[in-house]
Amino acid sequence: MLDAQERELIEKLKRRDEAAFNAFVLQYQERVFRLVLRMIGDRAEAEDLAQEVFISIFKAIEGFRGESQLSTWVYRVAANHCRNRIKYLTRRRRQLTEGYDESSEEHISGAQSQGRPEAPDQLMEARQTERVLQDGLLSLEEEQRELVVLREVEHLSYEEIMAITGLPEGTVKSRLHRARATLREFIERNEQGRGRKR
Amino acid sequence: MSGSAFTSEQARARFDEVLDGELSDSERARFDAALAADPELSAEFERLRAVLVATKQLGTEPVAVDLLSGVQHKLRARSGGRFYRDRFAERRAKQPGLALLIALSALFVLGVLFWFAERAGWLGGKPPGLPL
Repeated sequence: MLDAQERELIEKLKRRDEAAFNAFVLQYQERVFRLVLRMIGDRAEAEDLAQEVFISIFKAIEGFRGESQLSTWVYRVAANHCRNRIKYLTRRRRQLTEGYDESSEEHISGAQSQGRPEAPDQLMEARQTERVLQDGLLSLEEEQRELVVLREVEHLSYEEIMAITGLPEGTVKSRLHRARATLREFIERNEQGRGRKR
Repeated sequence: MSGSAFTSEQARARFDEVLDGELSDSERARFDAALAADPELSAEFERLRAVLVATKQLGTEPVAVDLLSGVQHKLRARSGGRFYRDRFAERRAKQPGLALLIALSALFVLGVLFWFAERAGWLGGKPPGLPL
């Protein structure tokens, strides 16, 4: 159920109240951007896509009937945009090198930049971990990646994930089970690879 | 009674439930007993847990992003100026003081100019001190 504050915000958004929309963007931009970034893996692309998510919301807010939390609806719009963009990017990149290249590593590093000041070696290690995890996420099938991002990165409940994806609980859990195992295997392979290089 | 330990396969099939905190106390005890009896299984579970802890970390660190100006720009362009036409209303909309200050300053300057122009007779009145 929506609380009074959320209902008021939605009413203002439906009236195309620009100040309310500004506040809404500021409230949700981090969550939307993080979801999109982890799904796409490219910062510039993610910024563009996250902006498109908000534009879609601005246009489509009249269709929001309040049957779910506003945040769930926002995630649903963002997830749909991600699926469409991934299809488009896959078509566009079919001729290029598969996977996540050096340039996308450049794009992704620095995404987490407002954290605590850290020692250079800690920062390096954190960046390395982030990069490996992002590689792991991108190695997953899109449907699995979406579930891992929603569940593990965004910390959403199964109910919320079911509402966002439209999938039944059994499907969510079985896909997530496979995704977690695949992610673990990817990280292990990566660590073994790094171990051999040393 | 917590019952006997799960077999390794039974325990492996419950990794997700453990990570999601969905096992009952007695099932958790049987799961822990299975891990204690099988170091390889225990290591596998710990690796999975470590990966998921690290993945969860991705969602707790703040990300530096500012989408607002880009969103406003696109909305203004695509609506043909219908939305976000007034650039003073852009950005945070949290600086009404600045907009007000600019508006008041502009009014003051206009007032001074009007007063000066009137005194100088530039508004059509008789300039003071000139002979007819």
